[in-house]
Amino acid sequence: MVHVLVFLVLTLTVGAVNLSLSEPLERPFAKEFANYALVVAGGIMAFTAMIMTLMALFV
Amino acid sequence: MAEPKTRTKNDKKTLPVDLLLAWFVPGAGHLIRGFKRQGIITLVLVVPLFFVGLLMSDNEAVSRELHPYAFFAELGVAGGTLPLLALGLGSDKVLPDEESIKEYQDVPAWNDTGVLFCCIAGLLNFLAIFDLVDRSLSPPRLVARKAEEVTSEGSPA
Repeated sequence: MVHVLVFLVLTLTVGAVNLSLSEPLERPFAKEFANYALVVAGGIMAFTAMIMTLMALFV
Repeated sequence: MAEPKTRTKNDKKTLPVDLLLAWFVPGAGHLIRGFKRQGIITLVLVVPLFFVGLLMSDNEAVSRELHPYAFFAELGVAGGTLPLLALGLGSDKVLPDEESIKEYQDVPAWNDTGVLFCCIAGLLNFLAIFDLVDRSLSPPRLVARKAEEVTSEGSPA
């Protein structure tokens, strides 16, 4: 759980700084960042689900 | 009476000083040249990330002896790394020549994470410095890109 938190802090920080430095953006900054955060959260959930499924099957 | 000297976004004369400022204080270069949003986001995110990493590693992150490669990434935040290096805060944990580094037992629990945080903060600040150079030397490109976007939004699909 702590590792997920560390990953989230680093990913969101890097994403926010990169998005702000990439301006002008196609959409407002808040929308772009929300979209990015959703992708990160979705990725974590998908990866966790995959790991848990594989562990249930093979461990 | 002479008017106070103010910086413009593409003032090339003050760019080296602003870059030095940006190197020491993340976001300060953007702020002083008028890129407020970029400056505030860099300052608010990079500075705490660096100092949280420093706390987690018990100042060990800035030790060049213990982290010879990571040190150069951390050097991106010069305002944090150089004074601590000069004070020797991280170096007191280095063992005498005869003893192996493997015998160093008193490692903080979050040492690696702290070093990682400091490294990422430093590398992000290098990115911000490069962005400041880009924005200052080629503002017409950014203006043209924005104008192009406005035109494409206005034109029918």
